[in-house]
Amino acid sequence: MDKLIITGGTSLSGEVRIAGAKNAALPILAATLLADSPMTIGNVPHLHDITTTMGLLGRMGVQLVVDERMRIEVDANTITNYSAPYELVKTMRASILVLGPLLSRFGQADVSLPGGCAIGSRPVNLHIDGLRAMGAEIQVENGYIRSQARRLKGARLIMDIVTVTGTENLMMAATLADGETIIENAAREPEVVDLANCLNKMGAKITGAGSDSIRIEGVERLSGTDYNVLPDRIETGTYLVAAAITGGKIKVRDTDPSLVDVILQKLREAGAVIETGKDWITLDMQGKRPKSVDVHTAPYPAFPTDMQAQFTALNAIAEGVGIITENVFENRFMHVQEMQRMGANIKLEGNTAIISGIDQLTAAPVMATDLRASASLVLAGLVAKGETMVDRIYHIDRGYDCIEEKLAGLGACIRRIPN
Amino acid sequence: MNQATLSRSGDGRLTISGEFGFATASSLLTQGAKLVNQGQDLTIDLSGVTSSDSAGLALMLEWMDQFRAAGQQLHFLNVPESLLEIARVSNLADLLPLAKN
Repeated sequence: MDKLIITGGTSLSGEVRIAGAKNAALPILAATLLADSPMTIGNVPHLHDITTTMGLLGRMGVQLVVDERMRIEVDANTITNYSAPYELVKTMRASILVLGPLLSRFGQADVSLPGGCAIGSRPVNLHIDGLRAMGAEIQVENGYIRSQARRLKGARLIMDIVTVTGTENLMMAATLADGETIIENAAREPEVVDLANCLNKMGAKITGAGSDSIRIEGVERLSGTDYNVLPDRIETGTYLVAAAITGGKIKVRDTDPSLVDVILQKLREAGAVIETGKDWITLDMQGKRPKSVDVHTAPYPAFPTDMQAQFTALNAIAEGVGIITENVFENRFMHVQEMQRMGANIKLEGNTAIISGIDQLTAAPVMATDLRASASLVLAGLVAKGETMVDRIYHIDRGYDCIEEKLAGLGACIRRIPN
Repeated sequence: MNQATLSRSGDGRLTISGEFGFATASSLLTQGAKLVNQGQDLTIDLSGVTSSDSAGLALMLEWMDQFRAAGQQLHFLNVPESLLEIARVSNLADLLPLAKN
């Protein structure tokens, strides 16, 4: 397994380009199954889960071509089977996103149930219940969701809990259904809106995406289009925190400031001077140590759980005491133990971390346990005294496109040790 | 009309010119079939490639497979950076037998 070695102590400065959002690219790749002509997806991040999704579609017989600008052209008309096998689904839970499109367009889908997850349970029953309400026949047997339908029928779907992939799966399924579907208590995340925008460009009739009630008028067919994935708001936030934690000054480009309002607000509270343009953000700490901030995670548009660990790292060296409350996932403080090994003063009480900032962390070998925890350990390493070794960085490679190149481009002393 | 040609240069190398991708891969595969089983190792020069995509990369892998089965060695020279990037993203870069100029 590769490792990252980070020597702390450098203030970051310079410019960094933000990649497309993985959490938008994955459902949009699944949505290509709905198109009856080839379509092209741009601004796709260079991440392992994207390669896995392409492998999944390729196994189904879908034709994929990656061009020189890393745009992916997909032709789903060559599909020959409708199955997402366990060996792929177990490595990438988002594989379940093919369920709705396959069932809606081709009338059948066999998708393996995903396995457990390190950061809490994410039930798939909402996907299944929603599709059943639209007329699908679904059996769960031998670890697979086996589903069939003639043509799905529009329905009013009330989600028990807010789920992003559940909303996306049902929204995709409803595009080709007979009649109107309304998804109540829908996820409001920008990635859901991006998927709706893409589907509408393909000919779907979706309104209300971004609110908690999405209305989909089913159409007979969807056609291919060209679509660019929206920028990754979590990558944007992570580089901004990297600059803030190091007392640096950076410009983040090819992003969308409106996607990170709440993150910018917290960074301003921490003492950062922030300016924004149409597709860029500058952050300047003017060499100052950040001030502690309190954070409560909740579904969009509140503070994202995927930025919680990075703000834990920020608070670890900030002035004052910061309280972080995790309201979205269970077991999402696994980075805290590792930061404590670097000298951080953090007390855990249930879903709350109370962090008393110290002047400086000290380097230690640490181990990543999930994607965002890994990123937070890299951030901690940027301000630790000595050489921090972050192990198991395959987690970080799942969500951050070329992280060591980008941080090195901002002046960080970071290198990858291949296995 | 997308076109690509395989031509032999004076030093015995084979040069690909034109588009190296989805539109031309099938034709290039046919043109290249006669090169295998000639009992010779081969270097394919991609300096004449004007554009490429992942289908070009797939063709390189297919040729590698054919040459390996025939017990011959195949090397690629002047592979465009964009094609190498596709190989890197696909975790295939380490497999490509790249020749040095």
